Amino acid sequence: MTALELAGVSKVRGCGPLAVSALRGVSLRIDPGELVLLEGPSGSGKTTLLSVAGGLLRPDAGEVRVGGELLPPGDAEARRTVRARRIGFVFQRSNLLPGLDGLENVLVQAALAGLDEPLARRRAGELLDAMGVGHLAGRRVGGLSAGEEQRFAVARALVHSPSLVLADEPTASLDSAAGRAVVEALVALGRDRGAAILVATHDARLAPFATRRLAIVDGGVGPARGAPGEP
Amino acid sequence: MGNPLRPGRFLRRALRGGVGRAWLAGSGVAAAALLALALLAAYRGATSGVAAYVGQVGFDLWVAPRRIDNLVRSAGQLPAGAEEAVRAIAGVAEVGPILRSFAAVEGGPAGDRRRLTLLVIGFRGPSGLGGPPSLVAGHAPASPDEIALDRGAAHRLGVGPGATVEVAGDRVRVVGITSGTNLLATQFAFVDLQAADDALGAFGRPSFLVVRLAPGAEPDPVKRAIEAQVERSAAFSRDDFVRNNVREIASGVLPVLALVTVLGLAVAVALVALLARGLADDRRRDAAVLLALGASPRAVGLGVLAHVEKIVLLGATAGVAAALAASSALERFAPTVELAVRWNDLLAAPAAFAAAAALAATGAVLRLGRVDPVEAFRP
Repeated sequence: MTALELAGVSKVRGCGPLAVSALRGVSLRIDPGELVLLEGPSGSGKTTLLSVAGGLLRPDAGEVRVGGELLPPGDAEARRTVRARRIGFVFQRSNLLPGLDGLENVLVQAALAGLDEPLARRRAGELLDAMGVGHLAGRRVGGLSAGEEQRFAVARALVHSPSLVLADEPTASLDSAAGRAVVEALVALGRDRGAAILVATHDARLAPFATRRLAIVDGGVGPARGAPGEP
Repeated sequence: MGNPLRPGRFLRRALRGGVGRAWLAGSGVAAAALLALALLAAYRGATSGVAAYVGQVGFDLWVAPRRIDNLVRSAGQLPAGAEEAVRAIAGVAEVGPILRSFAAVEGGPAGDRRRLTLLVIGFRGPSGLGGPPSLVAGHAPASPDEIALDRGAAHRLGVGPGATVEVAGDRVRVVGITSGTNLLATQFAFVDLQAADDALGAFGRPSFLVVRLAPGAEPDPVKRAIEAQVERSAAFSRDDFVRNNVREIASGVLPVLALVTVLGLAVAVALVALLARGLADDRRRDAAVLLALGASPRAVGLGVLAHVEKIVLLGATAGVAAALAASSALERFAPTVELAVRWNDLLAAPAAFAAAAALAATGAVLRLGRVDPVEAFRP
């Protein structure tokens, strides 16, 4: 089953004279276990594509399916349900919730996905141990470094075994070593769980981990410069 | 299906935000509650003194010279023999003559003598009708050389039970301290009826008569009988007489106090609404993250509302506690300031704040429901 399928997706952002065609008839398939990099300059529409793929924005035209399930454009509640169960997010900043400790930040996604508590706690514990932050599980967000926070964010994105992980510049706020560690963990754990990973990034250091590199130009998606299939 | 992890328990805590901001907001609400309650208490205190005295249980009817309808601003006397005439009317159980005047009272330690003009009530002490509504120390005057002072007046004069003060030049001993007898502009003092009569040269003509009705007696027939029997007199029910006296107080300083109170309450409610809205708006980013992760807008909105209401109610409760403490401290250390803190105000202020906060936060929460979860992507 395809992890993510976009068929003829278009999206206009803004309105009136400020309206911009961010996506024009984008079609894309990503299979389970793939890591796909989405490259492009700032403002090219990378975040819009991630948002449409994640059901956060509805497309003006076309269809989006995640794990085979349609994200109905006119039904925000249905999109929310699919998002909670089948999609994981890693943001540029960790976006951990400061009212919760590290473990609870992971469990909140498990709760939204409807996981049983023992299963959720077991998976969260395994992920945090694998990310090397298990010993920090009870620590408040304010007491974590940026790298540690992002590892908790990766665990949050994977705890409900999603079909798709969408990551927006996950290494942008990290130093080189921390960024590499986070990406290595994301790739390894994501593949172990059969999740497809779509990463919007400027970070060339991620290229070796990618199964495909795509670029978004003028609202369309194609192979990135230097990627296989691109002269 | 086992035991599903419930999102609610995480959402409520996730939407709490930082402790420092919650403390600041809660402190602001507490300060607003204290302001509102202090203003209400001061406003009520301005009229509570006269109402406490005039409206005492057992003061069923007040008899005044015709064209005089209040105790606060009046001058006049009933005819001699009025007391006996009223006592003879069917349905009257007890009659208390009152002689009322303003008098200069001087007292305090040597070298720091102070002088106050007090509303002096002469009554047939120590237990006749017309005495003080309550005593916080000592007893009511029982002889011509004794006086009971309002506690605010006693505090300002710097005297207590056992001290000697001068009333219109006559030396009398302070034997009691009264409460509920502060009119803001002046205070009550209670002396023996005979002493007041001698000082004023009233020759047995009282300013007012207080009447206690016999059990089962109807007030209206007794009022009519009094007005028929006592020449040039008018009789009032207790409630009417209280209303008349409050009206007199209200025509003085009260309108200004009322304006200040209303403005203060409006400021307090607006402040609480602003704090509530700020608290809700402050949760915008966390709300966007939760919505992106798949939380329902309704659950997020209710979580924010619960967070705001909790802080407002905790703050208001702290304000109520502070108001009670302030009232108690003033009563003990500065009784000249009469704060009449009432239980219905203590309940109404937090309720009004909670309603204002809910209203203000609801607007913010509705906007949170429309927050674009894409905001979670923004650095």
